[in-house]
Amino acid sequence: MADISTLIQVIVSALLLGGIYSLIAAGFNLIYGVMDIINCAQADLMMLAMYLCFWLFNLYGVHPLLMIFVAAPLFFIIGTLIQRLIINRLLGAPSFIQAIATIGLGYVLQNLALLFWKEDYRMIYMPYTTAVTIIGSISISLPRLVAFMGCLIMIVMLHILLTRTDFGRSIRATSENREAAALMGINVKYVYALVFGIGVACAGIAGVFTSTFYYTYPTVGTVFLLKMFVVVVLGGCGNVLGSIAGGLIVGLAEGVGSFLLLPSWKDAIYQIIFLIVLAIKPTGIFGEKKV
Amino acid sequence: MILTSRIDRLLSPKFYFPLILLIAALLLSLWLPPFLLHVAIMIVLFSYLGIAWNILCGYTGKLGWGHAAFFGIGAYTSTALYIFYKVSPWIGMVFGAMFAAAYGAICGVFCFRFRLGGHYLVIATIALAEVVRVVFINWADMGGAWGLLLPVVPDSWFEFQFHTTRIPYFFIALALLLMVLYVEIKLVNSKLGYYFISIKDDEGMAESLGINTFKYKVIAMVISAALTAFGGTFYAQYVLYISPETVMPLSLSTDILIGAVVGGMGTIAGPIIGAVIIQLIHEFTRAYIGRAGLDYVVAGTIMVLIALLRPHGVIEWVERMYNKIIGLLPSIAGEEIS
Repeated sequence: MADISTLIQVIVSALLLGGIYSLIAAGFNLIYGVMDIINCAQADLMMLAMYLCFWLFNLYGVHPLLMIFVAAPLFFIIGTLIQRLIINRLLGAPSFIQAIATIGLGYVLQNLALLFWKEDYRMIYMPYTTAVTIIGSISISLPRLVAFMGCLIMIVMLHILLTRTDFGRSIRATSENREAAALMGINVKYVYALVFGIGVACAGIAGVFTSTFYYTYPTVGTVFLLKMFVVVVLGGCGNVLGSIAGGLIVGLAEGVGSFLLLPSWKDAIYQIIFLIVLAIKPTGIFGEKKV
Repeated sequence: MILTSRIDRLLSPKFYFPLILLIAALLLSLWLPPFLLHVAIMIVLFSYLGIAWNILCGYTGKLGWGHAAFFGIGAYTSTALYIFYKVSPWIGMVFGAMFAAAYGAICGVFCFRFRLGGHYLVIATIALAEVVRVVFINWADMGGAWGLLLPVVPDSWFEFQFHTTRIPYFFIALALLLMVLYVEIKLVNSKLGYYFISIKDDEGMAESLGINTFKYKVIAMVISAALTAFGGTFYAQYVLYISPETVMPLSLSTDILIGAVVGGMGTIAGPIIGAVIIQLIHEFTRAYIGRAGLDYVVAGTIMVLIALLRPHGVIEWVERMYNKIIGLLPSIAGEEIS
């Protein structure tokens, strides 16, 4: 029965990793759903948050999880600044021009990291990052479990913000019809700045969690970016809760795929699932919005 | 009458100025020190790739972000045929283009059958290219993640290898560039080219006029893929080492299209101007500042600025300057041809 328990082990840790994918995708999804902008710099902003945790831990011994309280407001501000300086001017531009701007921004961030911190793989070493909880016959890495729970809580909070508050209603109104929302007295520019800030803050928080169990290096964003796209399309564009399902599917496909095949195939597996979903139901498994 | 007007046209600055530039480039290449020659080769190669990309994306307006796959297929096909079957890379190049065209057709049918556009098309082409990269990483006979090392042989045109001087590489790259320019100019002025542009301008309208847009989008993808594969073979023979991480990464797809975007999509000279700017930045920051990363910081900043300030590319500026120069040059025939 060793095989079965290994498989369960793989599935559990894959699902836990899926939680992280869900959170960065949720932020991306919020921005996409409301502003119709694909923020390709999302994963590179996450990389910055990972470096933030790494350096503050190494230099001052700050516990990475405490960094959530720093990273969330900090990345919110960074997000609103990016929106002000770049995205605001591209709202009416063709989609590839927007993509080029955000990919360019991602390049700048990625390579600034490379310039300052070299391409070394860095990891936070402390008792917490190697702690393991044992439930029954399976052992679960504690930071992954905490990250998973944290990400789910963040997404649910985001969902509540969107559906249960006045601010959330104004966001949804803006995403449905920008002009009509503006006529109803909603300050669209303000909503956009906040939405972009919240989306980037999600990436920042995801980065904090990721830094406790994953290597930090300049191009780590690319790894997450490709998965994020897939999660978003699987869960349905603009659907924040859908990204939970999308994240878990990608995590599972990756984990089980690398268990059954070779680990080096794992990147192809979720891409193929993505292409199949794109062919069958391009609005995503739970998506409603038209392509 | 026809004869004299033809001669007049040849003698007008519009014709002889580009010719002088070309001859100057050829002569200059003989005197360039090795590093600058390398830069020149990279500029010509990426101009070529940018134009090949532009045929799909600039004219039909369908943005593909996965041209590294076609490039890699070209590089791997000719290299594998050479290593395993001793086939000359020149023949391998043709096979590489055929395989890339076949994969381009698959990509095209997949993407356009499901009417993907905008963001979805970008992500789908990235995914299609990533799948190819992972396949090659796992393909043990093709060297897996280590890649393939071309055996070094003495200089020979048949084997497509030159070590004593890189000048032949420059000439070959320039020949490729002239070929693709010829193809592009022919295409733009053909019925096919008009179909492509009509798809970019208004796809629904094109369809209602009876144009099979699906077919022409796939054709554009196939032409673009095959041309990109030639560049892949050239690169393999130039560097003599290929691996999935050097000829198929996502960053290569970006490198291919950034030149065309910076220069001006959907124009003939745009990708060349863009490649000059981008490759000069890349090679010089790499060589003289010597810290990895700075080149892409500059390139990324330029991408953002272009998107913000010049969404149609810098071609407008360059064109104005070029026309000014041409206006200053005397027509040898003595009268202006309009």
